[in-house]
Amino acid sequence: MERKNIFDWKRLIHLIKNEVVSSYRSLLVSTGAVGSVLLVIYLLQMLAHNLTAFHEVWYPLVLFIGGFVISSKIFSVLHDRRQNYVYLTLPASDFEKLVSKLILSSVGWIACSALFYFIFSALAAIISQIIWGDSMSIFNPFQYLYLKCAAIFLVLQSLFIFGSIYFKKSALAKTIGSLFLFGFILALISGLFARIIFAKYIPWCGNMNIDFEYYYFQADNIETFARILGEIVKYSFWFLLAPFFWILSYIRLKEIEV
Amino acid sequence: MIEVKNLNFAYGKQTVLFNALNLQLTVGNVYGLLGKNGAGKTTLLKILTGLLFPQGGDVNVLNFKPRLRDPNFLQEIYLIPEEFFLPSVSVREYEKAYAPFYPRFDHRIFEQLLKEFEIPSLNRLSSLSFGQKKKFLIAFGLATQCKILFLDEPTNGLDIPTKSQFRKILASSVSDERTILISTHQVRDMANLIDPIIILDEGQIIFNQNLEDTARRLVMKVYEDEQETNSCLFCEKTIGGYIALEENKTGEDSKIDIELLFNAVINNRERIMHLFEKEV
Amino acid sequence: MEFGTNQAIYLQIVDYMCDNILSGKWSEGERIPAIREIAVSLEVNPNTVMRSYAYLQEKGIIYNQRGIGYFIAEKGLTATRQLKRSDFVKNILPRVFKSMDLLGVGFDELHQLYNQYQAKGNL
Repeated sequence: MERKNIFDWKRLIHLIKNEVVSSYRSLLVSTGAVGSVLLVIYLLQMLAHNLTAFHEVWYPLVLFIGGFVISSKIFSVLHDRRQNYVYLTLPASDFEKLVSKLILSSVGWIACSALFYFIFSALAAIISQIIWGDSMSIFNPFQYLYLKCAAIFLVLQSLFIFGSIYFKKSALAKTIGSLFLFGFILALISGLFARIIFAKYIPWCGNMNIDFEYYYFQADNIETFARILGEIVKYSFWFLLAPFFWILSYIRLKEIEV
Repeated sequence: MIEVKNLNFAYGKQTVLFNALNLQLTVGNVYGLLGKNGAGKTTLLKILTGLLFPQGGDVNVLNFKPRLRDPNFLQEIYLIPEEFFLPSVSVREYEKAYAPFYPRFDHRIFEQLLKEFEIPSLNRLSSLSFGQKKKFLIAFGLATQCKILFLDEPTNGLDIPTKSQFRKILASSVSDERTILISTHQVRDMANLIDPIIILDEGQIIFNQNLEDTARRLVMKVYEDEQETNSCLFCEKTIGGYIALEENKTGEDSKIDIELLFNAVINNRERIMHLFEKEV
Repeated sequence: MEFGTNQAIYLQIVDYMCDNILSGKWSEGERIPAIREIAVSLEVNPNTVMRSYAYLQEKGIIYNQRGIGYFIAEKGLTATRQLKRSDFVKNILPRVFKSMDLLGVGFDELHQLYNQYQAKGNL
């Protein structure tokens, strides 16, 4: 047996090129369609002399909705009987295949959507100037709001890419469904948890009869505990959630059969 | 080169497809994999190409375990299934996107095959007819210069002139370094090209012999009278009488009709296996 | 070329090649097509054609010049004729005789028919 051959830059580049060649046409068509719709809305809003918060609303919508749709579809090739064999027997490792699609649908999508949205905002401004003699400011992708959106997208996207590998059909709907279900269960559990531990501090359940705090916590460090708990949740969202789903995606991809 | 030992495979718990299947293929042949519908020919190809995983036993192809889908393994094989999809890109774009994965891909061979197959290189691939698409894939597969080419029912859906073109291309691409494994139930289309013959039945490989050895042990005879066919392994009624396959006791060198051989092996498995165990 | 039903394919290819020699299409000393070419034109496995070539080589009808190709031997025509003659005597004549017996065709009638055939110039 030869040495493990799971990563090679050249193959990764070829995979990315391959992906672009086979999907740029449909992407350009959707970009054109979305762009035109946005342009109409832009011009109507200008007509109404409403100059507030256009890009702040629409760019995040484009980024998240577009990104989730694309991420949910990116592994659909695995579930098409007439195409999956080509992809799986393409001489590159499953790791390279995951990384190439991951790069394209996360960082690649953020960069492309920002670039196209920037071009759109500039074009829209020019057209609006010509028609109405007035326009909104041009979209600046490096604004804090957009960078934060991009970061959140990067994390949440990992769920959709896993969904795309895991679900055979309508991955987007199923991923969102699972998220809601998961969220609901999480809310229930954390609600229960909160009720048990922090009952005393939550006005509407002040009359809890189990007083955990009495057994486990001193009154002065309950706040610290709450804060630490909050931090743990925050850090796991930012730094653990995505890698967890990336690893899960890799394991699933390696085990996929046709 | 291909070595399968005690392979087990089942779809779900009920339908056991392979039960301790053994198979050995050597380099440089055009193997014909025959079997009844549902015998598992396609499944076997999928296991050999890493698309399905063995549930027991050992599968070795070119010293790789196919299920690991190692790039070094994948670049030495090419699979053309019965049903496939080609994207809406031109021949050139396809080549640009897929050829770089195969280190020995030969642009000249590709061009030449496209010309021989009369495939217009300006059209979008998705606009080609089924036969043209299949020829395109065969041309691409041969141009990769991979070590093993897997073809699943290659003549299905091809018209008569295309079948002939296909046989010519195949005859010209046999080489000592390349193995071609063709699964088919349309034996007549490939009868003079496939050799050795592999027969898959009831979850096992029950026959794997080249035609020279087969002709040494078996002989095809035509009889007018049914009485004379008593000792045959399998016989079929034709216009002129009975065409029979029987043990070759005289060292005669006859043509072996592959359909007849297939039927004989399926119907008279024990006796034929026994005949091939003997030294000749 | 359509292959017959009963004779081994490699021997049918041998026949085809012998016919080319007897008809003068290939003459002695001449280079003949490569194995692959024959395989492609007849749509058969090159290994089968290789067997035919080996058989003809063994009979002294063709010879191989390494790196160049196959040629008809100096006495190729004679050797071919000999091979086909023995094939005629061993395989074809018995069948003719059998038919003659079955149909009651005598030698005189056969002779007459042969003369007619020659008179038409069908050689």
